Amino acid sequence: MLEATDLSVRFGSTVAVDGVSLTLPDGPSGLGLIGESGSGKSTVGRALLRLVRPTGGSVRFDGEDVLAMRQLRPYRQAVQVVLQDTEGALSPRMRIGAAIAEVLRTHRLVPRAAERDRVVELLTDVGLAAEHAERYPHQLSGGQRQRVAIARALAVRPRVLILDEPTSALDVTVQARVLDLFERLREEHRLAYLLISHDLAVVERLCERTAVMYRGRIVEEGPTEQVLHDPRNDYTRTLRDAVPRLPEAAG
Amino acid sequence: MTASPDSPASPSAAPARPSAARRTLAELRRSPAIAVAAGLLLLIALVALLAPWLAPHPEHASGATDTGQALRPPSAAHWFGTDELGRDVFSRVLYGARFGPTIALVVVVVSLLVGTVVGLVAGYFGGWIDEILMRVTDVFLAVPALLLALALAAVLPRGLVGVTIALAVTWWPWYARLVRSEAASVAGRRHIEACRALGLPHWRILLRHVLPGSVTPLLVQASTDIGGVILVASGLSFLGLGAQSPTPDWGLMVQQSQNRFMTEWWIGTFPGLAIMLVAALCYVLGDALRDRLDPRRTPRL
Amino acid sequence: MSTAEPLLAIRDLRVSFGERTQVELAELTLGAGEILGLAGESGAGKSLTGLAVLGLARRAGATVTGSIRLAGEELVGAPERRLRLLRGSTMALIPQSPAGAFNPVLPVGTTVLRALRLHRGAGATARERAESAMRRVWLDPEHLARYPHQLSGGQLQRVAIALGLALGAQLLIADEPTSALDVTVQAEICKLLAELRDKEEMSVLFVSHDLAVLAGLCDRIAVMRAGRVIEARPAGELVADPREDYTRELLAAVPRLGGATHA
Repeated sequence: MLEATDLSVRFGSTVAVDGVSLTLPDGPSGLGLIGESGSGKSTVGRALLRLVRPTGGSVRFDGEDVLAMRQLRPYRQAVQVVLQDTEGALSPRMRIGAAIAEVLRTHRLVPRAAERDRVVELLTDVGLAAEHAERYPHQLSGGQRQRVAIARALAVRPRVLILDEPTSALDVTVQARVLDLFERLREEHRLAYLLISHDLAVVERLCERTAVMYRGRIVEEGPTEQVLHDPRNDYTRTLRDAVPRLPEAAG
Repeated sequence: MTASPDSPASPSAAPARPSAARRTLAELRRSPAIAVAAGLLLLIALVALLAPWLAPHPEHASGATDTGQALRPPSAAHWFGTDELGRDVFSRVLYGARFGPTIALVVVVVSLLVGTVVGLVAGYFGGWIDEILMRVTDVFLAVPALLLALALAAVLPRGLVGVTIALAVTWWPWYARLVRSEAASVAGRRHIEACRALGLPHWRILLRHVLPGSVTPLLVQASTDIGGVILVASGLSFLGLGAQSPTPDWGLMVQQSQNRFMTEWWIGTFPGLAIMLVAALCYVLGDALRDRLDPRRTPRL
Repeated sequence: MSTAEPLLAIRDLRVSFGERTQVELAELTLGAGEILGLAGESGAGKSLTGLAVLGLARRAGATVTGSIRLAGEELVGAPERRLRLLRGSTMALIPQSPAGAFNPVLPVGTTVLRALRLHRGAGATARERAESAMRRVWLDPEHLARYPHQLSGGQLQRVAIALGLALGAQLLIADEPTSALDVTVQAEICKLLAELRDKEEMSVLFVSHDLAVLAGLCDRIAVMRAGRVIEARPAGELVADPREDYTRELLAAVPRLGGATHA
């Protein structure tokens, strides 16, 4: 459905992404994109979202050339993103309800009268309550803020959700619950995930396939099982072995 | 799944954040400097409005003279004395509150509007748009403001409108710079990227998501600037490029009295003090606002 | 550690902001050559405990009562000058983001040397100390001439540790020192800290939310919740057989790679 071929992104003389090809099948599905900081994995996500201009290659969505699209709105509705919540993926001065309603209005998704109900419905869907609509981002915990970001993305009924380090700023117990939410939403809304993360364990939970990026290139791609447990590539092995592990007895 | 799943860290009982206006009011109450400066400025505005009723000789503001009473020192009848045409200086100083401060207000508001639009667009879009807008801005900033205003005022038709235009043209680049740097730093943040990915139109992102971050520094800068503009506007009047006789503009009054300063000091001193008072109040207000509203100050626990 | 007193002994420590008590520790000790992990979620009070030991909590506006003894010396209520001296000699902070600890317009060596001269005087030996400290953290002393932006996050973190070593620290207080780093770099820093403990009897108070990291590195782990230590035991025991429900919950939430095929 969403397909990048030979994608390259250059910033000045630095090559951030160097000939990356990947395919996201129809949902429910998950493709993990793992790598360390500076590997170019986030840039791939931003290029797919057309937030940065690729310097080479192509992106196709249902066969249509994304980079040539003049009217972006339909694409923006179909392909959504949830970012890491470090300093806030939400505008600090806007109430939660207004931030979600703004998206509904932009895409003219529901009549004004039904706006409020739809906001509440979305909040409920991500495990929040109607009263959260009145809050400001700073009045919520990190996990709650991340749920709002998810609700905002779901507001447009997307088919693809690009998740850029969606849980790495969260406490482990909160992270576990947000991952549960991602798992449920994936099935209920038939979403295709592109999960960008440095955390192998997170990718393993949500993705059938995984690609490993190193210095702008994909060095290995395959079924997640195989990539994590029987890696063909040396770098993948190094990455996997560096993951801190609890002794088995703890399970 | 319960209603509030990640709640341990959430201040769920916290009251909603009060509106900006209400917050500003609350801040005022906590800061006497702001309250006093703002109160006095309001009083001056009131004087300007009510000048016809407050001034003992309103006719002296618009050309009438009384040569029989010329050059009287301050007395019970003429609190600030009279000038060489016998006009009551007190009345003229009261009327003067209608000119200098109004020019300053108009200049600052116009500059704010122009500067904000230029700064927002440049900072948010970046790239060549930023380059062009900022080079233009730099050209204006490269010429000393007073010099530029002087040159413009000399070319433009004499009078209050001319001064106002000349000053607005010299002033907006400062706001453009200020807003641009704020906008550029916000534009790179994640929530702006999220807005773009959500397909929100640019104007909406600019107004609802980028601009609010610049409001506080702008407010602070603008209130300080009003004082500065009053000084410069008075300077231009003093040089004969601003208000024209018989307008009771403070700067003009000081200028017209300069030969008499050693003998009839009151004619120039009182309008001069009025200029200083308003300028000082604006500085105090701007400074106090900065201390109170600057989001970068350390939050109290 | 059979000697009379452990390197660091915390007793009845209470750190509060106004009415709100954020940390309430009955007892916590750290011996020489020991790595103690402070685990817990955000807001549990683990970072604040670290700050209290460094004598920085009071400066942040907190009220600190109770007792913190470092090598037999009482820190609670000690004059600021003395604390500053100790922070430059006996104990050192390893921050989460070393980038913030170095002046971006100076070579890192300049920052290190200035700190050394400030706390130890002696110009000529300062350079030698700095260079030998760099070797102890597996870095070529040449890196001292580099600017912060020319070093990777992991290298910068090692320079921060080197600075602590050069100052003669016996106790490193590491506040989430690897949370901002990639896993491969994180593994390297942990290995380095373990080596410093084994070879140089270095003590480390390692504050982290990541139990998996702590389990692999620490001798003992103290789990904090709402300002209190709810369980403090040898790392292996705690992980294998947690006594508290909360510890069990934390362990269960640690993301793990499934399957048994470990390297």
